[in-house]
Amino acid sequence: MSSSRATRGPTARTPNDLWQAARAQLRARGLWPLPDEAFQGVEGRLAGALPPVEASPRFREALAANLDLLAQHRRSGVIVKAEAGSRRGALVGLGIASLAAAAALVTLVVYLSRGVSRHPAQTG
Amino acid sequence: MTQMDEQAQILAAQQDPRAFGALYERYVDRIYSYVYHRVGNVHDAEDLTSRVFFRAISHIGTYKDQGYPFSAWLYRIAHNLIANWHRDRSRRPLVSLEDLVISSQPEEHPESRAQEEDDRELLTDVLQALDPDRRELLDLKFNEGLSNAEIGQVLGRSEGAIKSLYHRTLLQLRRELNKKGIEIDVEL
Repeated sequence: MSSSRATRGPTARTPNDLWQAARAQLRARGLWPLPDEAFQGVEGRLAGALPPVEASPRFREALAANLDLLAQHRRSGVIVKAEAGSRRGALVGLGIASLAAAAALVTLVVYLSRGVSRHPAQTG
Repeated sequence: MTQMDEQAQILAAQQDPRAFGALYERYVDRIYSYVYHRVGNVHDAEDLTSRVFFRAISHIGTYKDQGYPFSAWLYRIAHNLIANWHRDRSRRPLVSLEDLVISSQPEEHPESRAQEEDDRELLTDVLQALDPDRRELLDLKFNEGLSNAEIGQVLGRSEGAIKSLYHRTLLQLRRELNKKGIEIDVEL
């Protein structure tokens, strides 16, 4: 056994050694996933860099009171909806304005067409 | 508080909205922290946190236990509201990471403390350069303590996709930290 090892020499590599070396090369090039241990250092640093942020007591209490009020309204059958926002109002306004503009345009066209049809009779 | 206790609180809130307060007290700080990290200022964080809980109390009746914790449902609401917020304002998440970095322990040696401060600044730079979805993933994992499956529920992705994104993110962080001289020695 020892003689056979001697004939292979000190630089002889087993298939496992070759696989380890090949995998290391692939990992260095991002072609093979890194072991979980590779990320422990990064994860350790991240854990301390993203601390939780607490809400202010004033905000917490105010929101709790508002939620309680909403809950009581819902309980009593009053439906409280969140503010619809300006977008819906703008859309409704735009729709009404479009209808008004269309009506004005139709009126103008009808008025002008009548004026044109009367004009030859007045001159003749 | 056990899972059973939480289930009882959810059931109570579904039957009577006034019982929602217990769930609110349990999660308000976590939701606020999550929102704050996404929007980067107190005013919008408070506004969005309020909307999260108003929406939650309004839809608590439709909540169904699908094997994920109740917090994942809340985070999902917050995630959607924040996405709308960013879309409406065409803003990118801007978080003052300088405010988030924990200060060093006072009893440390000045040299090691200075080195640690330098490392934290570098880490801040690296985190700042990450894509918003990757930072959100890290926040949900490290700050909120959610599992990959729960994060997938929040972000609307599969557990496998989250795991893959997480590894890519760590790989990117590790590479960027090494570039900046913070060596993380690992036997490849």
